[in-house]
Amino acid sequence: MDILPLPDGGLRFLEVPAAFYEQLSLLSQTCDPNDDPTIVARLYPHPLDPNEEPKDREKAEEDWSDFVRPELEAAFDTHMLTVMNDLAEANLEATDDDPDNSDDEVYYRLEIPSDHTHAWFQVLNRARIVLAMKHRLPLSEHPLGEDEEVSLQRLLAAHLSDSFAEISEILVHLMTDELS
Amino acid sequence: MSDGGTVTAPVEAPKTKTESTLDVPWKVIVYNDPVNLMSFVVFVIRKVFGYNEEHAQKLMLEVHEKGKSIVWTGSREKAELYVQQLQGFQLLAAMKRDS
Repeated sequence: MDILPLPDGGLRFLEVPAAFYEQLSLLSQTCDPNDDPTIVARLYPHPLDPNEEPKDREKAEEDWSDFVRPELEAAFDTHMLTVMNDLAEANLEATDDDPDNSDDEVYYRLEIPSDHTHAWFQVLNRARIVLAMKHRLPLSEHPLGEDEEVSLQRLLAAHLSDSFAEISEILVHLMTDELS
Repeated sequence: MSDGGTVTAPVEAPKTKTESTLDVPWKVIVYNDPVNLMSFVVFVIRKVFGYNEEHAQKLMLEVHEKGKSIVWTGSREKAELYVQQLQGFQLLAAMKRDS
């Protein structure tokens, strides 16, 4: 997969393997905390420091849940919609220069316009947060001593998270350029 | 400064509980998070507070090395707004009364 900058500040992805494109298409599910209270608490943390008085924390939490959290959720939904629309517009790419090559690998070409970089970053970042919490990443902090299936799932999650992080680094670079 | 007239002792307005609560400054705190990219934390601090890169880097390193950093202090109303913005960027942020 190649990632090229676009003149307007966006990105073009060439030769996106079908398997990775599929993972991107599943971002909505990947980002879903599935009502896991620990993950939800990470995504929408308590607005007051834990050292504040419990009575104040309770009231603040109530207000936050009623007024702020719905706004944060709606903003994220908008980001997700932007990402899904970009993915829907991705094109199949013909990259096989060798007609004798029987390996019919499918690739996609994907573009992220400059005004969508923020949405993409937010979605990939949330995916990394949820993956990390669901699969106890990074792997280095949790020595593998579990059954093979769990280990494989964690390895795949770690690999996916790393791929998202690489793209995210490029997106942050682009967004930071906009600040200057 | 006197204007040449009589000098009267300043009258202190009675302090109410509400006033003193409102006057207490609040600190906005960003906590360490193993997932958020360091470059992103710098970006968010710059974007939300308008700090220059050097200052944002310093605060990010404090978050990274000490587990948290006070990134802003001021009124509760503004602190709430900043915490909302930081959480909108998926940073672990909260606010605390200044003691």
